[in-house]
Amino acid sequence: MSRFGTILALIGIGLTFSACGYNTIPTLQEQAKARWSDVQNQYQRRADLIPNLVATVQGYAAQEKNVLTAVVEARAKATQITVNASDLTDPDKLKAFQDAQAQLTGALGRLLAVSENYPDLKSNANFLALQSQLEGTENRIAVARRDYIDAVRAYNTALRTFPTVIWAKTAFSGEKPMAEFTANEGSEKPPQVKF
Amino acid sequence: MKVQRSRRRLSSKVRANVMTAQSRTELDAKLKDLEDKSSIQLVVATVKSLQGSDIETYANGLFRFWKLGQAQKNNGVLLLVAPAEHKVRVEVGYGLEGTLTDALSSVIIASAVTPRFKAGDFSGGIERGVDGIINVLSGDSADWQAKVDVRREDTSADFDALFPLLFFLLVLFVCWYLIHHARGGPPGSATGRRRSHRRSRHRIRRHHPNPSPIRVQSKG
Repeated sequence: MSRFGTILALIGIGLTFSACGYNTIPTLQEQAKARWSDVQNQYQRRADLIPNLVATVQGYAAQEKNVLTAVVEARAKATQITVNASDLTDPDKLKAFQDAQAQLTGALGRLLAVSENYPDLKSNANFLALQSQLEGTENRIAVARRDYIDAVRAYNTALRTFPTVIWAKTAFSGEKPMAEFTANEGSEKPPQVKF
Repeated sequence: MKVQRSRRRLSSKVRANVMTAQSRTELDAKLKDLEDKSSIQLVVATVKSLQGSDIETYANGLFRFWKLGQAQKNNGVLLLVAPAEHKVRVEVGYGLEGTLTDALSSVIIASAVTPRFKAGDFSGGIERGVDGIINVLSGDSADWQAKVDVRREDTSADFDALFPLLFFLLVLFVCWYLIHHARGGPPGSATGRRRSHRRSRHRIRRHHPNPSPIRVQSKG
């Protein structure tokens, strides 16, 4: 009967493995990576809107050259920096990404502020459509960032809490905590709302 | 899948009662009709206060709290009205973003909803807004299918939830199988023969010189 004892013991060990959260760390990691690709998607979506927006504004306010070039340059810089999911553990890379996007946000804000001075532009249907799409995309960026931060928080917590910490120190000892965004837009901590 | 979820209600403490009873009944029928026809879940909510949050965050939070739309299609739409803050927002599920775009939403709000709200006609504004949204969602009946070609998310969630249970049952079965077969000899299947052979190391056992493929089970 000792053979059956061995088999049962092996099964028991297998069960303990899965019950103690062996799967938790890879799962949470993949979730965080997926949330990150959402974030990048939404930023990319914003970058895709900009050429059209710049072209439309140029038609009405060509003399605002400084603002327009600032937007184009900031966009070029921002699209150059992408962060692979495997680089998420590097806070510096994430910061570079965030800084480039923040610069683009600023340049876009100035462009929209300037366009307030041109009534023809403001009533242009194309411009209005682009503006609302841009607003919508900014919202989605905020949501995607929030989701990413939540996912990273769950993952990083799993790396440091029992029982998953056992696996973090043994089987997944190569996995480092992921970097969060530094909260500079105030959108990261949504107020608690009761429905 | 939860089927009947069109009756989403805010508690009366949170809800701003700005619609007349009659238009609310009409609206309910309209929304139910939409859900029956297209499975799109459109919900109108009015709130007394956004509780210090901006309307985008509040709408997104409420949309997720209610889990609007079918989980796999993510085809919910929320029209949120905050009369006190003078804010209106159309929150669209991921699956319908391509149909009811931000640009269209803003056009609907600006042209159909806001003018009536400014005149104090909340019922009319909401009705017109809902009509506009339904119009966009319906599109031309010809390319209805193409327009509501929603992006599907992965469907493995149900299986993931069941997997530990299935695994546990499998282990139970294996245990039962092993224990059961350790006691009595199995009807001479291939495994049975292999097992009895294995056991012969532990216990002296008389073998038939020529075991027939089907043996009668004998205890002891």
